[in-house]
Amino acid sequence: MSASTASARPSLLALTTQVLRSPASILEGRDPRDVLATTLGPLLILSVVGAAIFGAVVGSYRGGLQYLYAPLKMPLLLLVPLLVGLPAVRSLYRACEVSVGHARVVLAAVVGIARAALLAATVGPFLWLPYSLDIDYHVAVLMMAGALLLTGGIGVVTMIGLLPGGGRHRWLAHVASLAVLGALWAQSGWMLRPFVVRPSADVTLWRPVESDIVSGLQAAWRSARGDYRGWHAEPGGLLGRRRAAGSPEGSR
Amino acid sequence: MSGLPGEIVAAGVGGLGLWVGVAYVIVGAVVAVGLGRRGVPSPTAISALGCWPLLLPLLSGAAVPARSSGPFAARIERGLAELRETMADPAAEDVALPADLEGLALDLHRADERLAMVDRLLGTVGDGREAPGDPAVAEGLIALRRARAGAAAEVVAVLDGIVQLRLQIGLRSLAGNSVPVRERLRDLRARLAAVDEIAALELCTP
Repeated sequence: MSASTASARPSLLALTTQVLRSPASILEGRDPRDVLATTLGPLLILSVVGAAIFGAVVGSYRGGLQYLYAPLKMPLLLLVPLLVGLPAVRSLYRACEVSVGHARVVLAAVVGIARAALLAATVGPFLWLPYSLDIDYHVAVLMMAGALLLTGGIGVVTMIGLLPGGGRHRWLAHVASLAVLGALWAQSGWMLRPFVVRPSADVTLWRPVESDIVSGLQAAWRSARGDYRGWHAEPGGLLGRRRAAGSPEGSR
Repeated sequence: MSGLPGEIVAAGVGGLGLWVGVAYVIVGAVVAVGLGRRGVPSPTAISALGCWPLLLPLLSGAAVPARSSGPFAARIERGLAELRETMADPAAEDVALPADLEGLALDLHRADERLAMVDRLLGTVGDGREAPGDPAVAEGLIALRRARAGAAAEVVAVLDGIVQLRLQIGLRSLAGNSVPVRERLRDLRARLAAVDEIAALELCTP
């Protein structure tokens, strides 16, 4: 790669401004593969740093080791679903007659994630204050989920905006992609929990793999109706295995 | 085992998780080396260790075209970006981006780099401030200027050809005519390749 291309690489600060103020300008009039080659590294750095800051804020609810664990896991929560789901997303767009290259899909997704991570970091102080006031555990979980939904939603809208326009079935592709990525994000969150740890529970890096997000939601739904039987989700599937006796529970 | 490493290993779903993790990192290292050889910047190549599935587009097709710094660099970039945009438009159905487009981009940038080199040469040797005393040098300068003008004209013609191709794609979306995109791009590449032969012929002819 020529020196001119290397000099065209934006600084982290300039890229942060672009991601937050005009993400479309990152791609404007340039070959997506060229942009991917020069900006993927910096975009990943922004994503990891932003998510880690948000993770530190979430970890502050429990404190102690969770100050380390939550910032380690939060970037994984944002990035792992992309690694797994982007080929499916691209296939969905092509199936819906939206002609889009692999590099363009990757760039749009990574820019969207970087924007979501940076916004999550900016939301951090609004969570930190109530977390430091010893609010109820369930409220803390809801606040974290709300912040992730808000910033993640903006990230998804950013990603969609960076994909090519037109096409009769474009919205079908958007909805299908959102469903695929949403399911992956939900399951990743389930596998990587706990983020906010219940004050009475032990701090662990992650809980044993037990079933999936759907069975967890079913158990939560039953509990909400006063039926506490079967709260512990049954192990199942390829990754399911039995919980070790005496392992910590009750945290998200 | 206790502490963070112990937690990671314990949660690794037994040996399977460990082996999958090791295989993932090995594939990432192979992708990183491949990207490094193709001229991708180091930070991006290193990020392949953790995120190699995101970087696979850079391994397929031709090497990432290095942007030239010649007299037509900006026009080449703009023309190619507009052509990609036109071909990627959903209204331009069934017009896939062929690998020949990346090849054409490389050829154009190489031709532009050669023009830039010749311009630098002419700027230092034949800048017009003083006539060269040696008649052979004067003749060489004239031949080089002629070859340079011919090569620049061909690059301009290829760029015009790219605009024509875009117009044809637009016409096809309305009239339904077939557009042999791949053949057109090959023609344009052949035209650029012919520049070298013409320049060689002119430089050899006394």
